[in-house]
Amino acid sequence: MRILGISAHYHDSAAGLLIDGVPVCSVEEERLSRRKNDAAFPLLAIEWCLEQAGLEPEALDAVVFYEKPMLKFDRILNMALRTFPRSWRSFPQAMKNSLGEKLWVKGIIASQLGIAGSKILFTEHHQSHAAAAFYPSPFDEAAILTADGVGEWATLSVGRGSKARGIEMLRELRFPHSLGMLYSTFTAWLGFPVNEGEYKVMGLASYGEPSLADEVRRTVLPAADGSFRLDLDYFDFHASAKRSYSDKFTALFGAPREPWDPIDLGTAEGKRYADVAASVQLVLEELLLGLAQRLQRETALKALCLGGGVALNGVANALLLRESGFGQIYVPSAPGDAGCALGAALWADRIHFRRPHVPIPDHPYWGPVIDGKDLLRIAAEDGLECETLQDVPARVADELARGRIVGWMQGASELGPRALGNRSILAAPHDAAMRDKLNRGIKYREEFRPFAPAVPVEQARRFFDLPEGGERLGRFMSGVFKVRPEWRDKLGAVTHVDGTARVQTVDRATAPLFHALLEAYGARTGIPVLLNTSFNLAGEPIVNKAVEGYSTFRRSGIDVLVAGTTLATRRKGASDAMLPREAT
Amino acid sequence: MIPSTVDRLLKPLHRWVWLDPHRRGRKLLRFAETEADGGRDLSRAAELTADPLLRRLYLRHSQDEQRHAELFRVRARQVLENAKASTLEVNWLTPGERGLDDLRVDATGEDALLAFLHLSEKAAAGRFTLYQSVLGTDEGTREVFREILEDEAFHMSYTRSQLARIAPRKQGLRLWQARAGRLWKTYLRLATALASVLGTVVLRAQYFLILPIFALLARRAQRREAPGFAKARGSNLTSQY
Amino acid sequence: MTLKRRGKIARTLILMGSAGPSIVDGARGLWRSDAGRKWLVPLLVFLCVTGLLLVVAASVEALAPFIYAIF
Repeated sequence: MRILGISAHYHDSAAGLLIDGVPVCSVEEERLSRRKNDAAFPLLAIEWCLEQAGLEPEALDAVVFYEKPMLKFDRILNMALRTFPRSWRSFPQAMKNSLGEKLWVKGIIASQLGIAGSKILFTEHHQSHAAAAFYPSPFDEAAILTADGVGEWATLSVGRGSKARGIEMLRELRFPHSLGMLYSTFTAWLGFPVNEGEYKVMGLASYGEPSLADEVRRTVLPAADGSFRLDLDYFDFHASAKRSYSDKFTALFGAPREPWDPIDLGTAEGKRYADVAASVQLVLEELLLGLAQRLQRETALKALCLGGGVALNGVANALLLRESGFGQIYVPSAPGDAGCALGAALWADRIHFRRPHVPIPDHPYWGPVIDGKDLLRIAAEDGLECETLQDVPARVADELARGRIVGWMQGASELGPRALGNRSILAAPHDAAMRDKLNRGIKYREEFRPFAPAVPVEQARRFFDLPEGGERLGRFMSGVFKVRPEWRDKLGAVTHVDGTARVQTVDRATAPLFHALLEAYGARTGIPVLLNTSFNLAGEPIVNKAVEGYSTFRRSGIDVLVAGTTLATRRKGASDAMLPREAT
Repeated sequence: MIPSTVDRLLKPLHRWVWLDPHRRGRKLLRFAETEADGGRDLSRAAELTADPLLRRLYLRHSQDEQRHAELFRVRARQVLENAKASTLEVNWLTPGERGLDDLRVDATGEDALLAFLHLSEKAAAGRFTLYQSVLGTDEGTREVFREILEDEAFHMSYTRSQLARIAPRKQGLRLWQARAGRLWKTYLRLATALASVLGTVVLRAQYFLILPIFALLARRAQRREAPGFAKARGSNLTSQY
Repeated sequence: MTLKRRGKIARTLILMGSAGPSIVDGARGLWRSDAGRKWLVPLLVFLCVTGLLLVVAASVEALAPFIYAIF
């Protein structure tokens, strides 16, 4: 049975293909269209998926969209009605936004793929998250918790999964009461872009004290059944398209930060922003922990699968692992909407068509494969030094040990927002100066944002304080753990201000070449740890093809570019000035 | 570089627009975004072209745009530091180098792209020259425009010479097509803006005429809803609801 | 493999063809749901029909203002 899953129209559109119950491929539209967070109908991603499997659209047995557009419209309309007449400004925008294309998904799929309407199915948004989180996990049975901004009505759902019996969703919390919206509101107040800047809030939180936690708790109130509700007097996201917090919110927390104002942590203002970030992070953790503990008691299960955008919060994930009672936690590489493409297909396969579960390969590398020959050609055309390597890990480890920054492209690209060793910028992790160099010269991002370390899984405990289950949670970089005190100085570029790091534990079976590189680097330096950050520049999606890696390499301070077995370096003394102006 | 006739006629208005420091700062920020977007379009063009010389030129151009973005951003922060908020932005009157916004690099031929870039750079250079002349005593911002204009001259020149190289016989035609394309896109922008205004009026009329009774019913239904968790729905996959 | 690229008008026609069943589907779902919002069905249908107009307008950008004007 061939099932195509699609997620689209909000952020991170994607497509994924399932054949006989096993994922074949999946990719975000942005990686192919080269538009960051591309929310358009993922035509390029669909085409690529079908091409990978050599299928025509007619050969598909089902196409599954990751949410129910009419149910979503019901929610949008109801919120406009409930907030009447406050919603008079946002109503036209909300209607134009919903009615233009998003409501007619069935017609769009039918017209773009040329397939019969009867083949088009719709899962619920949180069902897609749940399937994406549970079926690829290594557990036969697990509790499931999904949380994001909002799907149709649901913002958070809990359930239990069994590979033999399927997924049973137990209950859900509905809009506007949402953990994702709570965090996003603070993200907006802190002057960061919503759906993109939540990482920044988490990074900033480490610089602050949760001194305003009580104030945050005033905005989100516990309910008797273990859930919570937002005090809507503090929020405006449900009634306004322009602002997510109310005047009462700004009266409580002060004036919001303008996006262009730099955050200077040496000033009282900067400290206040950091304290607010720390406070909302703490409250989020408390709420998630309460929900997870209750779910553990109720299900008596040992494992938990987390899905939805909130599952990208590695600090909260690590806390759940330590204190929720679940001994194992799994977060897929793409817990957000991009992962819902495969999630929707999996839900249709296992639940709708009632097909038995078949094991799913445990890796995040579902995207297009790199071709190193492209780099060889382009670099030769531009007169760059280029070589074909016999021993890739050894040669690249030499470069890294010399302090060079390496653009590293290998195999199939990762699904999800994190580079997990196939589309990465790598560097030595020892000196904090390297972090600053990357932040200022390559990634162009705020100095308070940390970089992640990658370490062979079998050596992870030597450097990092991992609880039981930490290795598994770290495989897709989903947990933030303490760096052992004795290593903090030697891992200065990847140790955050609070002594933590978002560790990637690299498994030899999953990523053999990256694992070998870490070992080779360890053989040279005594520390088999590398700084690993996504291979992209600010505002651009992670690179996909060699030519995109090359373009990034030429426009940034990356010293060495590796694609497959091809290695390119800048000419000695050559700077960014690649072409004399007279040459025109 | 000479500004367009329309821009010259509107010079007093431009002077007024640029007078307010907060508005000036916001505009510079917007220009920074446009330049950064343009830079990304050009790096995409570099990734797509099969012509090595064009690839190098596009990459250089892309780096210039990124540098311009940074120049605008830094200057905007300086201007905004002490500026009080202003409510009126008047963005339609003072576009930056917005031509590249409309570009779909993947779907544009090499010669058409060069013609488009040439005209965009030319138009931007004309506007930036005008902005320089209406900035009053703001020497810092004028200096930013001056520096950027030096690059624009190079961009205009290379796009023109490369167009002549790769389409020697069709260069004139491509430039006319690009001009017509810009005009058409201007009309579409205006038409879409007008349609949007009309749509807003229609929907707002519906809001006040039709929604009140439903709003009452919605509130009543909301009061009946129990707080906290609800039972998961579990609907059929064939339904869109 | 490249998906067959249909013209904007062809795509709009297919989309319009599926709109009726989609609206019926939405209305039926709302009617049958246990949310107690049957009264919302007329408004949902009315706005969906308004939405179809937006789809037509978007498909012929150049005529969009005139379509709104007719409406």
